[in-house]
Amino acid sequence: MKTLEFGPEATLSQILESMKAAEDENLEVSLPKGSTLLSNTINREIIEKFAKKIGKGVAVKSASLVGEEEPEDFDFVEGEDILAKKTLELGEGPVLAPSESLAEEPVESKKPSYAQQPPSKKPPSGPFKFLSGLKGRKKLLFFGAFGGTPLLILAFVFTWFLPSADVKITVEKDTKTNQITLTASAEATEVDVENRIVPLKVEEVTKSDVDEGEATGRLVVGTPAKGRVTIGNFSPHTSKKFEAGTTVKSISGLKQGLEFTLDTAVTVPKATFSGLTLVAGQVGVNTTAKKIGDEGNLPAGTEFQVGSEDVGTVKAVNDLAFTGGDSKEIAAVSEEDRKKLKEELLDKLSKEAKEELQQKLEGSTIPEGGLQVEVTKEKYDKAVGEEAKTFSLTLEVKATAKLFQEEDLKKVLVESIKPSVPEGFVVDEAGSTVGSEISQTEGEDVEILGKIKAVLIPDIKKDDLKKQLSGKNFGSAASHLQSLKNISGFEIEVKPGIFRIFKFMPFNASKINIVISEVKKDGE
Amino acid sequence: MAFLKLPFKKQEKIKDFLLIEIGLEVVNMAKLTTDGGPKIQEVGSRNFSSVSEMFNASLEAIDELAGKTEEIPKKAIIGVSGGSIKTETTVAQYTRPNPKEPISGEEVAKVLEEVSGKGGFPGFKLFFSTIASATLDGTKVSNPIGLKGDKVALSCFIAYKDPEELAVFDKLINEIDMELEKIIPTSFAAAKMMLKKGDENALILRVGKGRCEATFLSKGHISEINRFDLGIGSPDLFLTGFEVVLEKLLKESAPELVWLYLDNQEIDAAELKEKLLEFDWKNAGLDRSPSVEVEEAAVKEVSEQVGLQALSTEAIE
Repeated sequence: MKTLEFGPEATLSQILESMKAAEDENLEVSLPKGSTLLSNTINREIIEKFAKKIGKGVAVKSASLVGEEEPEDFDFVEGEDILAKKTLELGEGPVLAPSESLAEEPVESKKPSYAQQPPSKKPPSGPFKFLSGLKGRKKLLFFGAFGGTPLLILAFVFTWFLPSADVKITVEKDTKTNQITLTASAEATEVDVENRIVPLKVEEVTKSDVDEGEATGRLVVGTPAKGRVTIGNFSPHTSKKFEAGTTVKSISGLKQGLEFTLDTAVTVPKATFSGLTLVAGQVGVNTTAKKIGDEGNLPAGTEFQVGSEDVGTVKAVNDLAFTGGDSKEIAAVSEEDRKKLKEELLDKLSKEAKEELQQKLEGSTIPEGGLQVEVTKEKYDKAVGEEAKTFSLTLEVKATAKLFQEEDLKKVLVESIKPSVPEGFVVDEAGSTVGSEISQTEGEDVEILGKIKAVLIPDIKKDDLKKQLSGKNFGSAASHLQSLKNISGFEIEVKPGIFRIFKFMPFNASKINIVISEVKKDGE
Repeated sequence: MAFLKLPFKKQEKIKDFLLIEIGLEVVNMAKLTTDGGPKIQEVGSRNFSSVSEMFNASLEAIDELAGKTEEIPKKAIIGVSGGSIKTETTVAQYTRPNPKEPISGEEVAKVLEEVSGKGGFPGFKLFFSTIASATLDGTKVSNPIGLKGDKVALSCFIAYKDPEELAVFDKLINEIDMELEKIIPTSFAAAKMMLKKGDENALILRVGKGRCEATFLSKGHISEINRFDLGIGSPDLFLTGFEVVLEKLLKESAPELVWLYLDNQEIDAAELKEKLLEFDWKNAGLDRSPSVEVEEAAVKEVSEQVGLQALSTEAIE
C-alpha cells in the first residue's frame, strides 16, 4: 500500500489526480489534522468513488490519527464508544468506510484535557474510597448526579433571577370626546356614577396684597403771562366801567385771539375835546392770561378788545411787553392707570385664591364660573391727576369657590364614554383630560357641563403578556408582539447584555417590565 | 440599547440594503434599493481562494463599491455559500383547531420554533430558519400568513453553520460598521427562485473554479444543501462529485432539471454543460435525462450575478 501524503493546502482535484497517477492498487491518502477537505463527508465519498472508478482501493486518514499516542484513560469521555474507537484507530480492519463521526465530532479530534491526564498513582482513601470501585459509566453517572446538581442549581439561579427585560410597546392611541350634564351636590358625600352626581364643596378665602403701578398720565403745569394795558375810551358821552375778570382779547400782531382778564375793576372816563381834537379817556390796569404758557408773552403795542365793546369806541394797548408766561408737562396718575393696576392685582389675587382653595381640597377642580371674587378693600396712595411717577394700590378680596374632586368628575365622564369605546380598546384614564363649566345653579346644587377628551389605547393585559413572553426565544417573542392588535412598534432590551447571546426572554415573568407608550393614530 | 425593534408604522420603511454575497470563491458587495421592486444599483467584487482571504476580500469589495456609489446603506444582508453549512427541511403537518381564523405570524413562528428545537447538528449553530413553502388544504402557497385553512403543511427550512464562521461574519459587520439585518443561505434564495418558476425536482449547482454547492429541490421542498471541492477547473473530475450528490438526491426524487449558475463572471460553464449533457443518466439510475440549463447573469457589466439576484428577491420578503 502506498501512502499519498498531502499538505493543508492540497485541493481535492490534486488528490484525485495523484491517486490516478499512482501505480499502486491500494492507496492511503493522508491529510493533516484539521484538514477542511476531510471535514466534508462528500469529499471523502468522492475520493472513495473515484478510487473505485479507477480500480483502486483507498484508505483516507487524517494525520492526527496516524501514530497518535493512545490515551490510557477514556473513562470520562461522555457518550464515546471506547472499544469501537480503539479498534478503528489501531487499524484492525479495513478503514475504507468513511469514518464520518470521527470527522464531524469535535470531541474526538480534540479530546477534553482531563481525558489526557495520566491516571493518578495515589490510591483513593477517606469517605470517597468507594469511588475507586466505580468504573466507566457508573463513575460518570456518579459525578453527573452529585457534581452536576450544584451546577444545575447555579444554572437555575443564573437564568431565573439574573436576566430581566424591558419591553417598550408603542401603541396607537385614539381619542374620543364626549360631554354630559352632571350635578355637583353639597349634600352628596361620594360620587354616584349612575346618577351622575359628584360631591360639591364650597370654600372661602380672603386674600390681600399691595402692588405698585407706573403713572402714565400727562399734566401741564406753569404760570400765565401778565402785563399792564391802558384802556382808551373814545366816547365823549359816557364813561366805561369794567369789572375785574373782564376779558380782553388780542386783536393785532401775530398772536391774535389770546384772552386775558382784568385783575381789578376800572372805570374809564369819557373822551374830551381839546379844541377840535377829541382826547380819549384813559386808565391803566393789570391783566393776566387765561391760559398758562409762554404764548401769552405778547410784545408791546399789541391792541386788545375789551369785553364786548366796539374797538372803535373802547380799545386797550400794552405799552410794555407781557411777561412771566410759561408751562411744562409732568407725569401724573390717570384713571386708566388705576384701572389697569386694579385688574392686574385682582387677577393675581384671584389666581392665588383659586390655588389656595384647591389646596384646601386636594385633587379638586373648580369649574368655569365656579369662582366668585368680591373686592372688600381698595385704597390708592395717589389721586387721579396727582403728579407722580408711581403709585400703589392696596387690594383685599374675598373669594368663594364651588369645587369638586377631578377624579369624581373623571369617573362619571369615563363611565359615560365606555359604551362608545371600540372593541379591543380601553380608556387610558391617566392620559384622558376632563373639563367642566357651571351651566346652572339651583340652591346648594350646581348643574355642570362635563367634557372629556378620552385617550383610547389597545387593551393590553400586562401580566398576561409577561407570562406569554417569558421563556420565548426572540423570534417568537417578536412574532407574538407583532400579532397584537394596534401595536405600532416595540423594543426589547434584555439585561445584563450577556443574556442577549442566548436569544431568549427571561423565564421569570416577573423580571419582564412592560412599558406602554402612545403615539397618535395616523391622520391626527 | 434595544436589540429587537419593530419600526413604527409611521416611520419610513428602510428601502436600501447592502447585500454582502459571500460566494464560493468571490465576495460581492451590492447596493440594493427596494423602492419600486428590488434593484441592484452598484456592485463591488473580489475573488478569494481560501476562507482566510475572504475577510480582506470583503473589505476590498466594499471599498470598490464605495467608489461607485455616493451612499452605502447601513443595513446589511449577508448571503452565504460554501463553508460548513448544514441544512434540514422538515415538513410540519397539522390540523388547525380554528380553520376559520387566518394563520398568524405567531402560529408560523411557533411551528418553526418547535421544529428548530428538535433538530440541529452537534457543533453547529442555527443561523437561518424560514418557511420555504406551504400547502394549505392541498393548495400550494408561498406564504401562508393571513390565509385560512384546515390542513396545513409547512416546509420548514433550517440552516446551521460552524459558529467560528458566523463569528467571522460578525467581525466583518463590525469592521464595516453595519447593522446586520439577516444572514441567508444564497443557495436557498436561488432555489426559491427556481420554485417560483415551477420546477419542483431539480439539482441546482453553483459552480466555481474549484468548488461547487449543490442544492436539492425535491417534490417542491428545498431538502438539502451540500458542497464539495471540485469545480469548473477540472470538468472530468467534477463529474465524480456530481455523481455523489446525484446519488444522494436520487434517494428522494429524480431531478428533471440540472441548473447551473456561476460563482463569478470570470468562469465559463460551456464545457461543463457539455459534459453534463453527455452524462450517462441511465447508468446513474435515471429513466429520463433531465434538461441542463446554465443561468446567465442578467447584466454582466455590473457583475449582477444570479446569487445577488436571488438574494435581492429574498431580502425583501
